[in-house]
Amino acid sequence: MRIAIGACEEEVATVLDAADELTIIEAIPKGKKSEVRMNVGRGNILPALLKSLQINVLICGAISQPLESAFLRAGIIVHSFVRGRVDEVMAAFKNGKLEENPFIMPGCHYRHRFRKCGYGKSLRRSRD
Amino acid sequence: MSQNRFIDDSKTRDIILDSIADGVFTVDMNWNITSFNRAAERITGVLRDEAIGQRCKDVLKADVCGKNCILKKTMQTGKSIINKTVYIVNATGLRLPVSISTSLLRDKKGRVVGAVETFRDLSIEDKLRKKITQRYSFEDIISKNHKMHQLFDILPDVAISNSTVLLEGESGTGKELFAKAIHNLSGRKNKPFVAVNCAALPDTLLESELFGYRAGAFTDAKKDKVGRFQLAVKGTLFLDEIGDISSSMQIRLLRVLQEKTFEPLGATESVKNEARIIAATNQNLLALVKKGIFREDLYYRINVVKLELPPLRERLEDVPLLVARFIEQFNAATQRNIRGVSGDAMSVLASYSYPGNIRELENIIERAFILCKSNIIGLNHLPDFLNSLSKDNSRGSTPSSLKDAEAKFLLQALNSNNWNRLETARQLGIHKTTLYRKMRTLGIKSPLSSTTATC
Repeated sequence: MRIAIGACEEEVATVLDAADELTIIEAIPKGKKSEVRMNVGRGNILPALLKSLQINVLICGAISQPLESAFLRAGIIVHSFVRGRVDEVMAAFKNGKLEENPFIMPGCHYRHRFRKCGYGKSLRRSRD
Repeated sequence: MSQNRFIDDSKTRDIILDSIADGVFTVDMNWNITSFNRAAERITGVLRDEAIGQRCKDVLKADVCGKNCILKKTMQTGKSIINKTVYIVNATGLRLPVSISTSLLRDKKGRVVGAVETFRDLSIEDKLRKKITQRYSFEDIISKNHKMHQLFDILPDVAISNSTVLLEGESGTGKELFAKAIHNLSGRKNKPFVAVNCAALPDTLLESELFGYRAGAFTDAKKDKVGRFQLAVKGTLFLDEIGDISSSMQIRLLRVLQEKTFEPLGATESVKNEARIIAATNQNLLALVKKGIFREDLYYRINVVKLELPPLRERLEDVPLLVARFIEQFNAATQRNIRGVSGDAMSVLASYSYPGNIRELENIIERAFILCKSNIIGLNHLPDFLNSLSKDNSRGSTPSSLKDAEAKFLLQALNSNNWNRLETARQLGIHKTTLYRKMRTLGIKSPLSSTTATC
């Protein structure tokens, strides 16, 4: 499973639409296989780029509706309005705790209320 | 007693803040929000209780948060920032333009204890501006000139026709923009748009650029090279400055247009041309045909649909629209917040003849961005030749005598009729010999040579 995180230095970038950098992580059930940081172009080219890189999941900060829809159309699972240090966010994703308080931006909890696709579930699904 | 007073103070502060229509929040030295008013709740979609104590970037979610933080700049420099336009993403994912102002917060002893940020939702202004712009724009082309609107009207039909198009217009009139608009409106819009400036390359290089070559075609041809015709397969090939190509290249192009095939250098088999051709020139191709410089058969092959783009001096009413667009673009590119052009600067810009057309206007605005330190471009930010024009204009606006006024009037009439004296006389309702006599007595001479001047 490949996960991309919209990052700005060590933290999840506040707004993905303005993010310059992506951290791409090749994840396996017991940890991570590889981690690559890459500078990317902004906005509209990202969904096609991530699709070509065979990214399954995108974790990002705030994201505009049109851009989020473009990722969903490209078949990429989006965990948006996430904040925190990249390593901590990644650990929370692995433990299925990404939807919990410290990682969700203020005022954005309702967006995550009905989401149930944590790391474990996604991995199980990919194994099935 | 002091505790009660503190509670009263904070309540009063909240009431005052809530009565303000703009969003307002304050932060401490760690960027944590300490107060957050109702308008801020409405714009960001985040409740006050959720916002207090949180880092401001997680609540505001602006595109400048992080590396280009405006509050950070204010904290570092001690200087307020006024009306900087940025975009935020609210809690529902809507991207909103907001105008941000920042200032330092100090305690009674004058020590910095944090900062305050106010922000105004500009989405309504933005929508209105876009609506006005849309009325005058077509794809990326902007104009309210009637000749341009006639072109806008036929452009969709031209686009879907797949015919070869010839764009004629002076340098800087936006021929490539028109070519892109035709491509974007056609069924080929998802295929490549490839532009080649024919005048920029020597003949032999142009040939290999356009048609490509096979490995071994010449000494340094180690690998096959795909030409622009092949790159533009099923898309559009834009051949700019086609009037400048050599006669041998004209023959090769004619063959492609006639037979719809071409051979890369060194190839033994023909390749089918599936690109639509849009050609452009800043010369009068028909005049070149008459002089024997441009092949007549090629001219008629590319002149299936001809669009003539008017120079900017014939659509000076577009100058304010174009200036506004360039300011918007340069503001975004340079992170500036220039709001516009002063009245006297605009009247100078709107009365200049622009031999370099829109490109020249763009360069004038770019230069003004470098020199302008305030948020309004003034006369002193324009090039010297425009300033001297402004002085001439101000002298000319109060002519010293009736003779001067008559000369100025006649010059304007002659210019607007492209120095066609018969047309000018007809327009002014005078006999042509009267016009000649007046020109002679007022010392007006045609800038055109005697052979090209039209009677």
